[in-house]
Amino acid sequence: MHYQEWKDLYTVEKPVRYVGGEWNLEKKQFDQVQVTVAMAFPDVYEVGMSHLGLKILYHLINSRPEYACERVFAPWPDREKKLRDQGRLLQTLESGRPLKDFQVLGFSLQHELLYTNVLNMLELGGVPWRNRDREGWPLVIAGGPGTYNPEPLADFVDCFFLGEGEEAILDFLRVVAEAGKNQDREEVLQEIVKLPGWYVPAFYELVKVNNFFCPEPGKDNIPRPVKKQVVSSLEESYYPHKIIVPFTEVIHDRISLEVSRGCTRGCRFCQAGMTYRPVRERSLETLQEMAGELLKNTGYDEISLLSLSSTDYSCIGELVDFLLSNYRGLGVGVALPSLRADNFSVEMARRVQQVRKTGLTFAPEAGTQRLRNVINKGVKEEDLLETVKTAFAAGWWSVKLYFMLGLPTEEDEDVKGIVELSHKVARAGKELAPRRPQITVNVSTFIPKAHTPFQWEAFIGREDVQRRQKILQEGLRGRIFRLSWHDYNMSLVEALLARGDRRAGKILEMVWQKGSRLDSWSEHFRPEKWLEAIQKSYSPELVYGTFPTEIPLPWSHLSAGVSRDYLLQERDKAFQGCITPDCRQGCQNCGLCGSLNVSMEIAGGD
Amino acid sequence: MRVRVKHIKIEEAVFISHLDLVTTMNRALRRAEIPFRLTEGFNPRPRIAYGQPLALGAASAAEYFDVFLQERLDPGQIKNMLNSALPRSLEVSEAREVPVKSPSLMSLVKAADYLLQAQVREGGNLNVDLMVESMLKSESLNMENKKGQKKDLKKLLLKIEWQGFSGKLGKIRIVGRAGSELNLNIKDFCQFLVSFSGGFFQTPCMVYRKELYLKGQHNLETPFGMEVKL
Repeated sequence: MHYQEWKDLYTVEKPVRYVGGEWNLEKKQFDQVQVTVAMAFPDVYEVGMSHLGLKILYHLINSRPEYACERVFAPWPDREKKLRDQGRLLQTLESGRPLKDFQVLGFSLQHELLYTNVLNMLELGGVPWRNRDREGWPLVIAGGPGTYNPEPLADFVDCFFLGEGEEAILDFLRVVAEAGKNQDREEVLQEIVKLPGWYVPAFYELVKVNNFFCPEPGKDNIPRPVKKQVVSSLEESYYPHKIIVPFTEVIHDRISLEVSRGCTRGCRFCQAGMTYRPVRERSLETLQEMAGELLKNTGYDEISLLSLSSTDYSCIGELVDFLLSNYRGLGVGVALPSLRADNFSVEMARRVQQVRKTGLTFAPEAGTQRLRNVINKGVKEEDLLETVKTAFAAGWWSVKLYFMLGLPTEEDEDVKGIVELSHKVARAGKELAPRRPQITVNVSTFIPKAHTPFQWEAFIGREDVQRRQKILQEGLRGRIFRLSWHDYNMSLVEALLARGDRRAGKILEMVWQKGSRLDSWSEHFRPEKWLEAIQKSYSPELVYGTFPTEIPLPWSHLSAGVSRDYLLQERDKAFQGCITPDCRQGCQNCGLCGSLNVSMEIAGGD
Repeated sequence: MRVRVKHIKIEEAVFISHLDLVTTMNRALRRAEIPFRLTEGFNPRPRIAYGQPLALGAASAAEYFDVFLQERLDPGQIKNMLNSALPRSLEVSEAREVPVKSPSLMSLVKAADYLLQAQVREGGNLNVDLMVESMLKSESLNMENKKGQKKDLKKLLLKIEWQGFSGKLGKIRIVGRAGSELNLNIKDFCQFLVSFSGGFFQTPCMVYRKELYLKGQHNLETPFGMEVKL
C-alpha cells in the first residue's frame, strides 16, 4: 500500500470499513463481464454487512459469470470530508472503481432515515442525484421495504423493484445486458417497465387528488398497479453457500439462517407482516445442509435462525436439536432473534442457551388487552406473565419488553397499562429470578406505514408523546427498570417519508443539501433542519393527518398483494377491537395468494 | 499438542484491530478445520494466544500465536490448512511445534524490531546520522505522549539505525523493548521522532514489524528459537 493511500485510511475512524479484502469476497475482471453492478447500502459498513438481503443478491449476481457485483457503503463524515477535499469519488470495496463507472447502481431501502444517504452517495460517486439529469449509465435502482412508498425518492431513483429480488434481479440484468453499453436510457427503461414488479417513475404522471400527488400511468401499457414479486418457493430459491466474513465486528456478526419468510400473525401495524406474505418455510433437510455449508465456509461460531417469528417455524424443535447435537461440541451457538411470548418459545430459548446466556426479549407492543386487540397482537397478559415466570424460574433475570406509543385509539390509560404490566413482570422476577431482575422497557413510536390496515391513521403529535413518556418515566422508577424510547424527531422524519408524496422528496433534497446525512445516527441527526423544511414547504397534515379512505393514496399505483378491501376490513375490525386469527388456522381472505398466484409453503406438511 | 504459528499482516489487514484479528484467526481455524482445543466457559473459543498486540495501522512480517490442538498434526500441514482459509494479507509463513508446558508467548516477549517510514518536510534538511548519534548519546529521552503520560524512552530503546531514503520516505530501524515489564509504545516513539527532529520527520509514520524477540538462555531469540545478537 502506498504511503498516501495508507495515510488517508489511517487518519479516519475505523478504516477497516473502507478496505475490503474480506474472506469470500468476489472480484471479477470488468472486461470479462456483460454488466457491472454496484450494490449500495446507504448506511455504514457494519450495518450494511449485517443485512442478509445484500449478501444473497451479491453472491447470486456474482454466481453468474456474465455479471459482476461489488459493494459500497455510506462513508462516515470524516471519510466523506477527505473524499471531497481531495476531489476523489466514492468507490466500491472490491475494485475501487467510482460509482459512476458502473452500469447498475442498486440501493437497499431498509428504512426512511437512510434516504439522505442515498442522495449523498450518488453525488459522492459522481452520479447526478436527480434522475432527469442523468445520461447514459448507471441506472439507479432500489429495492427493500422503502419501495412500498417510493414517492419521496422518485425524483432520484430510475426504477424501483417491489418484492423479493432473487429471481427478478437476473431477469433485469438480462435486459440490461441485451441493451448493451451504449443504449439510450429511455429505451432501456421501456424494456424494464415491461418486467413484472418494476415501477419506473418516468412513465407516470402526477395527478392531484385532494391533498395528494398520485402517480398515474402516462400512456398505455404502463402497469397499474405494479405488483410485488415473490419467490413462489423458498425451498427452491437461491441461497449463498458462502457469505463474506467481515474483518471487523458488525452488528449481526453471525450466520443468518433464513428458516422462513413472512409471518402469519397479521399484526395490523406491521408492514413486514403484510408485505412479506405468504409464509414460506424451508425444509429441515435444506436448512441442515445450509447450516453445514455456511459454517464450513465462514468459520462463524454462531447461527441465528432468522424469520419474522422464528418459533413459528414448523420444524423449529428438530432444527434446534440438530444444530446443537452436531455443532455444540465445536463451540457453535444458536440464536433465536424473535421470540413469541409463550412457554414453547422459552423452552426453545432454554435449549439453545445451554451454550450462551443472554437476556430474553418479548414484544407485547401495547399495555392493555383492549389496545392489543386493536392492533391484533395476539398476546394475552396471562400468557406473557406465565412465560416470564417460566423464564425467571429457568434462570433468566434480564427481560426486555418492546412497546409502541401512538397506536391508533391509544389513550393515556393504555400507557399506564405499560407501567402496570412492567411492574407485574418485575414482581414475577423478584419472586423467581436467581438474582435481582433487570426489566428493560423499550418504547418506539408507531409510524403509519403504506400497505397496512393502519396506513390511513394519524401519526401521534409531540405533546401527546411527551405526556405519555412522562407517565412511563414516573411509573417505571427504580433500579429494576431500564426505560428507553425512540427519539421523537427521528420518528417524525420516518412518518414524513413513510407516507409522503413527491413533495416529501423536495424536503429530502433540501435537507440533504443543507448537510443532513446519517440521520439514523443520533450524533449526526439534525432535527431542526427537517422541522424547518417541513414548516416552510410542506403541509403538517401530510405528516400527522388521518388520511381519507375514499381517495387514492400516493402509493395506490403499487400493490403488495393484499387487497384494499382486506386492509379496510382489518381497519374496521381494529376499531371494533376484533381479533383476526393467524392465517395458519385458516385463510383470512387477504386476497394475496390469488393475486400473486402463490400459496403458503409449510415444511411440517400440514 | 501446541503449535506456534507465524503470519504476516499486510495491505488491508493492517487496519484490523487486535481484537478483530483474534476473531478473524478463530474463524480461519474453524474454516481450516484445525482440531483446536476450546476454552472453558459460556463462550468457548479456540484456545489461541498471541505474543504481542500490534498497533492499528501497522504492518508486520512477524505476528505469532500459539494454538493448542486435540491431536498431533504435522506443523507444515497446519500451515497449508490455514493458508487455504486465510486471505493473502494474513498468510502464514511458518508453523512449528513448541512444548505444551512452556511459558506463554506473551510472558516471554522481550523486544520487537520495527522499520519506520516517515515523510520528511519538503525542502527540509537534517543530518539524520547525527540525530541518531545524539539520540544514542543522550542519557534520557523524555517525552509526553498524547494521553499526557510522561515517559523516558531511553531505557526502552535497544537500537536505532538510519537506513536512508526510499523515495520521499525516510527509513529508520528501531529495536525496542516489548512485553509486560518494559514496553516501547511505537506510536510514542513516532511522536518523539517528530519533535526530536524538529519537525523534519512528519506524522503519521508507517510502522512495519519485522520480528519479535523472546527471552533466550543467553541472548534474545526469535519465537522459533533462533538466537539473535543486536
